Amino acid sequence: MQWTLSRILRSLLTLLLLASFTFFALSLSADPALQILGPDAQPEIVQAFKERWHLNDSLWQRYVTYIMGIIQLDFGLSYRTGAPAIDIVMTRLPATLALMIPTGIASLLIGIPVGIYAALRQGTRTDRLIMTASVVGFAVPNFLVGILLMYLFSVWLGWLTPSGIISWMSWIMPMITMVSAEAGIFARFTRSAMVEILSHPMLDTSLAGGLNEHQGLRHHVLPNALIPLLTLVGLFAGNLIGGAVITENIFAWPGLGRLLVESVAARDFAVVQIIVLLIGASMILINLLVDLSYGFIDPRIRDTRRISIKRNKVATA
Amino acid sequence: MKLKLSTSILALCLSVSAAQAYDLTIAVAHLPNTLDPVMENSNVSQRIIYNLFDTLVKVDYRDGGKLVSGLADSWEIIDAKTIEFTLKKGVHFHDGTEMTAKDILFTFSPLRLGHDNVAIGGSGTVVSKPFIGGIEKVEAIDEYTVRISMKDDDALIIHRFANYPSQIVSKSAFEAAGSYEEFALHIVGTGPYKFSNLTLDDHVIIEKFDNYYGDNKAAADKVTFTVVPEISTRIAGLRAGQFDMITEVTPDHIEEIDKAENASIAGGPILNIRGLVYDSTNEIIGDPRIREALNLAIDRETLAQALYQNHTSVPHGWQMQVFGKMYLADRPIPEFNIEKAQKLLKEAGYNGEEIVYRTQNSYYTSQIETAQILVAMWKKAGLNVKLAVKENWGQVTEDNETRHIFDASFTAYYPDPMGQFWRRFGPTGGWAQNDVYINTEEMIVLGKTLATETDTAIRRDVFTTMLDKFETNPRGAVLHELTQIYGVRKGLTYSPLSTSYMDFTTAGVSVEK
Repeated sequence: MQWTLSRILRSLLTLLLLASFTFFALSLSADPALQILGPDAQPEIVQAFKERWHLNDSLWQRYVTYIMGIIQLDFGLSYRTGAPAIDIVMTRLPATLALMIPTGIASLLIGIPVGIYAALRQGTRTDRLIMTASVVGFAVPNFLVGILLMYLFSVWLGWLTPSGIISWMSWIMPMITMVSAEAGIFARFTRSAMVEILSHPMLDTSLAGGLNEHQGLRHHVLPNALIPLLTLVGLFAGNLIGGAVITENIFAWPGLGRLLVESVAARDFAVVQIIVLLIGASMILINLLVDLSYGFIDPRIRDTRRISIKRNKVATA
Repeated sequence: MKLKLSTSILALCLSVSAAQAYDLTIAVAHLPNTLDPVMENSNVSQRIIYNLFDTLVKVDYRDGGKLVSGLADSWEIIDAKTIEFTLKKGVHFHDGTEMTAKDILFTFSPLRLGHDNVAIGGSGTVVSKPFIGGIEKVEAIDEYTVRISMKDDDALIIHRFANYPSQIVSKSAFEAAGSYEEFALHIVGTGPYKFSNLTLDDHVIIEKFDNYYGDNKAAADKVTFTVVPEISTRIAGLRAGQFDMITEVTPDHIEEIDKAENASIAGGPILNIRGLVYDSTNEIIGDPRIREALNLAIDRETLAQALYQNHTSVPHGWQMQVFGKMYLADRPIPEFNIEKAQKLLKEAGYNGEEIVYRTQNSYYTSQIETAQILVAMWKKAGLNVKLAVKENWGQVTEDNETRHIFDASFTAYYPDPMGQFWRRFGPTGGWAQNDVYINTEEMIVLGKTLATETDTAIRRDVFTTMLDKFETNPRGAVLHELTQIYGVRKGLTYSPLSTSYMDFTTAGVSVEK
């Protein structure tokens, strides 16, 4: 309980730091009035804009107002339209999730079995081939894969539309673009974790004790390989909201990634801040869940946490 | 008899084909935040608003910029300060109400053009002031007659009501909207298309307005402007048949589209000069001879040819042919003379001090390439110019000791030097007011004469003098005419205008059936 509470407090502090960093980075790097009104706007027009949005207040005053707003779940209005920023963000969130969730599932379903397969054939030509493909998958930038796919499937073959959401086929190219990278990462990680466990003496002991290879794999190798893999899954899942910026831009996907790019360029603070906080919150939440799940998967981690809490209590007593 | 019959069948076929509905999808790089003309002055806004609104008088861009009747049947310039419009009867807004004098009064009211709209939820940031800020009074003589008085004599009085941002909007729609921002987001005009939907940074949809009063009706039932940020994706979508047109085609992609079987290129130079601005208040380039040398060192024809091949040209100074009687046809293109530049630099005692040129990556077409070529040209003349690539306009125009040169464009909103050269470089322009330079008293007096004098011969002389003086004490540089290149799918014919406006009426678009 104490461990969970301390994690939640740390998470809230991380969010506060994130919100503060975003606020200062955006505020100090550009003037939203010039971004929105144009470079040759007359001083009195710029002044009216600043008054309207309280940009003449000191940085600290604005910061306090902003943080107080977040605490009250008031995220402010978009400078560009005057509409509540949260409404603008929420209209774009479903498209991003609709792309990222199937991408994540497909990456896991492809990456993990491929990684296991490669690990079991360690050192063979198949292993090398799979690992080469994995490296190519995540080493080639998404924008290059995306454009190549577009020219193949849209321009030459004429099978797919390259932009936006038209039908279920619109998912094909963005998903291939991202899955090729993510599945490659999962495959490599799974293989590494598996190879490490496969070379552990405990596996020889359990095999000598009468377990067959299949049982050894199921009872010892996979559960032990799951911990590092879960960390990676946590990182990916935490990045569900903000992970598709490049892909969304290439395929003109109407999601949050594209909104983020445009909003940063326009210094539409309220919109940017909500997206950044959403990304941060989802990353923190998923990692909290992953941390909690370690204890369920590996009882030794649970015990270590208990011992560490007891020690702290003794020390403070 | 046979001939008559076949002609009738052909006519029937044509009328059926004309009645067939079709939608257009235009892939664009950016969209405006709002469609109220006075709230946003940008090319991304202008390409849409031409289809949603009308002005009292219209510019016929397809007939040399001739002024023709718009929402006003006729007009009379009573004196250099006063103009009276007689409105057309039976013109309806998209909300069904009839356009009358009350709408003209609202369109040009302080509530809409001034800062008063802050009180009713507007941003108070109306960008129309440089264009129609000189209006003193708008009176309704009767339901269909409006008299507008300016504060000062105005040589452009008629042009101000024929161009951006004098598009007429519905007063009833404003009253029904509840707040200014709601009104701006659901704008109502009298144009051939009516507003349907705007989703920020994603799409704008406009639909055919069946009750349009004009001759050139909406060509399509629906036009969707969809944001596709990447040029490669826009081109792939055009070639794959997803888009009917794409905008912001960069010069390096023209050949690819031209060679494609199912697409072609449209567009070319528009009424806009791509140029530079010099901060003459800055010590390094404060000496006018150094700025003149900067101008003399630019080989504009090579620059235009290298980047745009035959798709643009170099204007004859700060003017465009559309100026008509005010166009100084004998004036040559800006001089390229390295020896003269070097001589001026020597006289000015320039010793290779670093001059900073702030640019951005891609706000303008081929912006970074243009900047790199310019730096190389200046280097040849002995000018030490350092390129500083910035992320945004705030960083570009930040007033400190390294603001020397930055990029700009100069739209000819009116077919006159007052709508281009002196609108930007004059004392009411944003740069003069932001201390990028201080105009000399002599230039201010000349500018005043240019603005108020109605005798064309005198105005031509004044403009000539102003350009001569500007050449030896420049606040900026002409580079070339700005281009607007479109990709168009096969089967669609697009007849572009010489402005940022895009015309989706029957005069601008036709589809091969």
